Amino acid sequence: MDIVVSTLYLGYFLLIFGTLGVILGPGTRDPFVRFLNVEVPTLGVMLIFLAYNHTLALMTYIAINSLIALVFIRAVIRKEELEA
Amino acid sequence: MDVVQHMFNYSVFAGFVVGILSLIAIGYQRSDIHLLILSDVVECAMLVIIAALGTDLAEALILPGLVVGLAEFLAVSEILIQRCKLRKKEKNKRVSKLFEEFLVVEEPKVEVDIEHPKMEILYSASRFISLILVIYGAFLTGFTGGAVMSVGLLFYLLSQGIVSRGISSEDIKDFWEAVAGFSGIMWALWIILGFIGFYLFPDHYVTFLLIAGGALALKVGSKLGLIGDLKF
Repeated sequence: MDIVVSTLYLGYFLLIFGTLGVILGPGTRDPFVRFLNVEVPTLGVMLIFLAYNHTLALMTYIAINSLIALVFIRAVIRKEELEA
Repeated sequence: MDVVQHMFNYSVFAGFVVGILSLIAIGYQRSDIHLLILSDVVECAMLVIIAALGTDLAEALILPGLVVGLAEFLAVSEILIQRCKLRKKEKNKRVSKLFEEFLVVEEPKVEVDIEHPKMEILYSASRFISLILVIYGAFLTGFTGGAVMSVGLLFYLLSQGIVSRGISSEDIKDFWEAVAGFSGIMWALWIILGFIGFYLFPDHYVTFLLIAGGALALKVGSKLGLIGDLKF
């Protein structure tokens, strides 16, 4: 099998089972654990971008992901501060 | 038949499966913060469906989609926090800056001299490497050239920061705004001079193509170079 196609299939696998992991997986009550689980479907999306040769999209997606992590952690901190 | 056409149905199918699963999960979810996470997964589905096109059009659609997604995430998280504040009926009207949780309140005092491991390349070759990258980016032009150029700027500024010959923190704000203004002028060159020139004077298209490409390279390069200016 071509390596591009196998990358694409690996991407599909990570995407679908990662989503199942985010929804049903262990420890999803904790927002942080759930957010870490989101990294798995994200990696799947990155592999799919790689297989389709979307260089700029891949680059921007990696950058945006780290920014989203910052925003999310900020939201959790503020919410805990308010609820405490 | 090439791989893009062959795999189109599978990609769209995977995207729809992920989208439907995460939307069902959103339907059963009660907590706000979990809704925020699941909406991130829905975005993954959207991206995969667009990427299935596999052409330059898909890439051109993904890039603004990502930026809009980030802005949306920021806005929704801000709304959640404000709603939480309103529910608590909090009295203090302290206006908080964006990302103030991650900023250093005061510089930690260190008594002993710490000998950082010296990477010789940061001292000797930083100027040379960044110059090569910037020139190579200028020849590439366009978005990719801007990215290469910005890597050069990032490397230079970060290495100067480590060697502690960087820009002092007083004029960091002026510098930031100057580079941002420069990026805005380059945007105007790219859109107004470059693109409108194509339509008004089609005979001189090479000139306007060079203007548009060069301006885009400078714009992306200067904007991403701002990241290297932050003090870590």
